[in-house]
This record gives sequence, structure tokens and C-alpha cells, in this order.
Amino acid sequence: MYSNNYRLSLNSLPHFLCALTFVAGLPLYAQPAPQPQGPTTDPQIHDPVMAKEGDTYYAFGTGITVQSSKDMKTWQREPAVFTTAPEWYTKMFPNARFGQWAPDISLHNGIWYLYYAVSIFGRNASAIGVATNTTLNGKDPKSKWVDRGMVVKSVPGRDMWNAIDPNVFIDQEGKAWMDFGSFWGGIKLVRLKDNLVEAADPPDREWHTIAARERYWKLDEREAGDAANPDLKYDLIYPKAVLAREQTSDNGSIEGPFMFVKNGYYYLFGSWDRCCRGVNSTYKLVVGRSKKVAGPYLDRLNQRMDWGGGTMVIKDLAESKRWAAAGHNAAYTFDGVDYLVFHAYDRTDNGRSKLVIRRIEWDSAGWPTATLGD
Amino acid sequence: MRGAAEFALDLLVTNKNGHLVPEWTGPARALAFTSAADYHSAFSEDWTRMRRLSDILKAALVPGLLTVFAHTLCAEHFNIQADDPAMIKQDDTYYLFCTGEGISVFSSKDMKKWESRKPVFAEAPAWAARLYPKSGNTELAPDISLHNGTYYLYYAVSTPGANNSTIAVATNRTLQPESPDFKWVDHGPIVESLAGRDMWNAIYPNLAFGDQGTPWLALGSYWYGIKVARLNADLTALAQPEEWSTVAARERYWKLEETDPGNDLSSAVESPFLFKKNGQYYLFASWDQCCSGVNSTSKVVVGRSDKITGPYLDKEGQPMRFGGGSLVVGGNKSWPGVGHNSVYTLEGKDYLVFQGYDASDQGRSKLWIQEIHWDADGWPSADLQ
Repeated sequence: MYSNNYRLSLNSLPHFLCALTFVAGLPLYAQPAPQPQGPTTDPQIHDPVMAKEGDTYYAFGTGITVQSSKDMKTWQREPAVFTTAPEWYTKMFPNARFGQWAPDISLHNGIWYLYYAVSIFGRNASAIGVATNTTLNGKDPKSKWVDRGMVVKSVPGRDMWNAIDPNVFIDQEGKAWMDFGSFWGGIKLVRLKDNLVEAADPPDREWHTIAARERYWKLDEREAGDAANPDLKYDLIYPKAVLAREQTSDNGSIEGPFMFVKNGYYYLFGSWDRCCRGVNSTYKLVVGRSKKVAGPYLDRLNQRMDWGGGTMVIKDLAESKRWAAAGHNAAYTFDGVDYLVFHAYDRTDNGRSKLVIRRIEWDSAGWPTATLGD
Repeated sequence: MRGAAEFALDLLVTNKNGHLVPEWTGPARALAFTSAADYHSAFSEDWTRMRRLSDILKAALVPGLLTVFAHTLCAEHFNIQADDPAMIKQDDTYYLFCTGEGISVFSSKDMKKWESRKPVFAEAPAWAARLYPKSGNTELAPDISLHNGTYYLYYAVSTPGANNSTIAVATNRTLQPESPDFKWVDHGPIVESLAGRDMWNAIYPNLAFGDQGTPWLALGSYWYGIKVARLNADLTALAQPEEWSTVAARERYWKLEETDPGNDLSSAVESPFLFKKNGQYYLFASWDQCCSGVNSTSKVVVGRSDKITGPYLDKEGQPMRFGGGSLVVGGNKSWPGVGHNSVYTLEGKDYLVFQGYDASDQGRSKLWIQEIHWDADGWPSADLQ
């Protein structure tokens, strides 16, 4: 619906999702600089996820962009995953700009599953799709991404959630789940079939809300909810007097969930506040944990994440000179070491969004922390 | 050895009108919630009650009891028990459809004296038995309308107390059971809500036509309120791509468990009915506590809009979407709660058809049919006398 005046919309609509402010992987607020074609130790990326195949690390980001590295330091661009839009996507979103967002990559039974989201700018008209491949090495002749269709979709006016930012994991009983979501009513958890490409049917069907922040109840259901955005256009739809009540809530600004299973706990990471505003971003990583996959996920102070709880993960975000904000993480164990993979906005480079990888420091109470540094 | 039906008769007493009714205590009281009377109280009651109820359901004598209870309701009387009444006229006969075993059906020549007819469903539709094995053959909140020579009966099946619910539709060429054409054909699910996924509840369907005859289904109960969703031209499925709007809601405390219907903070809104008059769409809905006998506080409210998708504004200009609503009819001492209405134009008069909890009869839910008064500004109201 916004495609006809896309550029105008960019100036007036809430910029609530990192992915939404990206077109072909270029950040909105930073003037696009050409991504280095050769190797770089300072790669741009948004919403990164990572995997290791053989001796090579692959980082996927909104786009879907691909970069490879042997050491997690020097990165080389690889061909993008999709050269054309999947058929189900063009059918469902004929007006959407081509460019999948916020991928998730994982290996199950020798097959790589790449989950991604498709959405229409500014709305929760969104869907999560999945493609599979037998290798991540684009130079391997066997490499071929196969579209496996749509997993879930959200419909404006029907759903208080948004089908983007997928993350798939297997629980400690071997059941497959997908956590996903952005803004609106928060982060959802849905059971998947064993084939990992469809939501489960009854009697296995199961959904939960596992993290949320307060959302002003008179916020229009078609608004994502960004309390800090002065450009919200609620009064176009409903009389201003009705909306005069002071807004004090966070209006549900949470997105980018990632589940990490360790020591009998499910650790649920999420990102709070505003991404995608370069040095003005206020993005931050939070975590909670539960012994049961369905939750409730509690933070360090035993506050439920679905009631606004969350413990900060990065210890020195406020002190960092270089990094303005950091979020949208993934977490992995590579060769016995736990890593936090996320993006951060670089003050020394016009607020561009960069790939950051840090070791997870587990404290004595079993809470994950990380040091950003400069 | 005594049969179940004989045992059940022990639980029935004769009321002041001479009708056999179940004694309102013990197992029989709980049983009544699973029958025609007050089934949907389950949606707003606590889980403890539901567990108790489910235990009772498991008892072997239940089928017999239900038969006897249904038979009791079948007696001809004026002041019939009715839940979620929907009405239509075919030729010279009025037909009333209510929540109950297989969907209760009554017929009348005068809207006063009602005769019980055979329920719509002899047994639960196969899809319902599969999705809601614990709901038996109880279908909820019917909505009846005639479109292009076919009667469309929308109804819901649900898991008590949860928003695991589905709205479906059955059609018939005639409502006269004696007609050779009489045959209910179930077309199955149209829309489903799921606990943990949806903040709405797929019950209380109501078919309405918007501008250019576009069909819409209004639906909803508790959670985040009343929705409208566009139907396709054959009225048996949602239009694609799906089009939805929330048209009525009241504030819900955000830290309520998502499985909680939300009836503790005056957030209850349910049972929509859309009625078009003088170029305006009127959205009727019920507020507050239903289904609690003499403790019921439900009332009928209304708002109106130029567009079927809203916003619906009340007399003061408050959107129903944000808690607005003007009173159409509320309870009094004799009838503490009224609600779950429908609206029809018959022979040029507009009628409000609804249920009221009868304080003089242990809070049972009774049928009300009242002519609507339209004031000079085009706002509807009805009396309880």
C-alpha cells in the first residue's frame, strides 16, 4: 500500500524495524557507501545470523546478504541467496519490494534451513518463509537454494503480532519451534512440524507469547507501536481527543528474538527500543530464561519477559565511544566457545550498522553478558 | 437397576409455571451449563468450574440427563429459555435459533408462543468433533439469514473458557422441517481462533453486507474485542487476501494471561450484531458480565458508522473501538442482565431480540423480543417492561 509513495513514507512513517528500513541491505539513515567488494574486517550487515560449515563461517543478513570468513575477522562478500523472489511471496505481496529480511540459519539432519521474512513497509502484512540447501558454499556446484514456501503469515487487523524475525530451534525433548516477531503484541513461539517448514497441526499445534512490552491500548492495531516516534499518524484514523491520554508505555518495542539452549535453560534474547537510526538508535539486547520452552521467561529480577521484563546483556553499551547502539542478535557455540553475534551502529562511520561478534561471558548465576569495547 | 433417565427425573422439579426444570443444585446445576441454558457462562467462568464440569461430563449418566433436559425445554411455552437468540421469518412462521445441543430451534406464528423443533445438528459436525472433542454437540451463538434463496446459519464451536474456537456455516433451502427440501448442509469452518496465537475469540458470528453488497462477518467475544472480516461471495469462506478490522474493544489489563478472556476489569464486550438503517451501520454488542444468573450485569450497547469497518462512534462520539458505546437496553431489578441481541425488521418494525436473566426464576436466561424505538437523532433503544 505504501509502495507508490515509498520515499515519502520513509520520511513520515515509524521506522520501527531494522529490516523495514533496509532496501537491498542498505541502511536508511546512513548514506549508502559502496560495500567493499574485497575482503574487509569491518563488514556492514543488518540482523546478522551465522553458521560454520567445514572451516568457513557464513554470516547472513537482511537482504539476504551473505559473507564468508575463515576467522570471523576478515569477511568476503558472497552472492546473495535470492536472485528472484519466491513465487508464494510475489503472489501474496505483489506490491512488496523484493528483499527478504532478518534471516535465520540452522543445520538439521544435513540440510541447511534459511528462514526469512517478507513484509510490506509499515504494516504487519508479513510472512515468514524458508529455503533449504545442502551446502552454504556458493562455489560448490551442489549449492542450490530451494524455496520451501511459507511457514506463517500475519494479517493487519486480525493479528496483534508480526510474522518477521524468525528463529528456529529444537527443544530439549527434540521438538521443533519457531520464535519470531516484532512490536505489536510481542514475541511469539509456535511449534513446527518435524519437517521444519510448516507450523504444527492439531494435536501438536501450540502457540505462546513469550516476550512483550506494554502497548498503549488505544494505539491503532495497524501501528507497530513506537512510543518515541513523533510522526505516528493515529489521529488520521481516530479522533485526536480520544488519543489525548499521555502515552507512557513502550508501545511494544521488542523484536528480533533468538533462543539459545544451555545448561537446562532456554535463554530468550530480544532487542528493545529503536533500531535503524544510525547514531540515534537506542537498540539494546535483553535476555530472560526459562526451564520450560513455553515460558514464562524470567529476567535476573524474576520479571516476566511477557510482562516487560528483560536483563541487559551488553555491560558497557552506555560507555562505548564507537558503538551507539547494539541489537538483533544471534548466539552460537563454535568449537566449544559461545558467541554473541549482533549488529551495532558505528559512530566512526556515519552510524552504519556493522557486524559485531563477542564471546558470551557467563556469570556465576548463569546469566550471559558481553563486552562491546571500542 | 435404575436407568439414567429415571435418575435424571429425580433432579427435576416443577416450577411455578408447571414446567419441569432441573433442580438448580449440585450436579444438575453444573450440568445445566453444558446444556441449552447458559452454556457460554463457561467462557467467563474460572477454570475450576470447568474442571468440575468436565468431570461431570465424563459421568455415564450424562447422555440420559441431556435427553431429559432437552425434552423439558421442548415443552410449548411463552417464556422460553433462550441463549443467544437469532430469529428469522419464513412465510408465516418465525424461527428462533439458540445456543444449545445441536443448536436449539423453536418456531412460532406470533413471536409469543414458541414450539420446540428438532435441533439443527443430530450430532456434532465431524470437523468439530475432531477439533473440539470435549465440546460434545454443543454449538454456540447461531446467526440466521436468507441470501439468494438460501438460509445461512453461522455458528461457533469452542473450548469452554478458552479462545480455541471456530466459526462455521450450515445452509438450508427451507426452514420448514416438513418440506422435502429441508436439509441442513454443513460447509465447515470459516475462521478459527487459537489460544496463544490470537487475541480474539471466533464465536458470536453475524453476517452483514457492506457497501456494494460486500459480505462481512462480525465476530468476537472478550480478549481484544469485536472484529469484522470480509467473506467471499459464496459466504462460506474468508475473502482472500484477508481483510480484518477491530470494531469494538474495551481496555484490557495488559498483564492478563493471554489465555484469560478478560472479564475482571469491565473489559467484557461480545456478541456483535450489525444492522443497517438510513445509510448507517449500527453495531450492537453486549457489555459486562453475562451468564451468571441473577448476578449477571450484561447490557446492550450500540455505536454507528458510515462504513462497515468503522470507526463506530457512540452518541458522544466515542469510538467503540476504544471503549465507547451507548446504552440500548440495560438490566433492572427483575432482569439484572440482558444481552446477546440480534435485530430484525419485520413488517416495517424493527425488533430487538435478546436474552434476559430472570430474577424471579433463579436467573435463568429468557427470550425477549421488543420493538426498537428510534429517537430523533437516529439512536435505538428498547424497554424492559
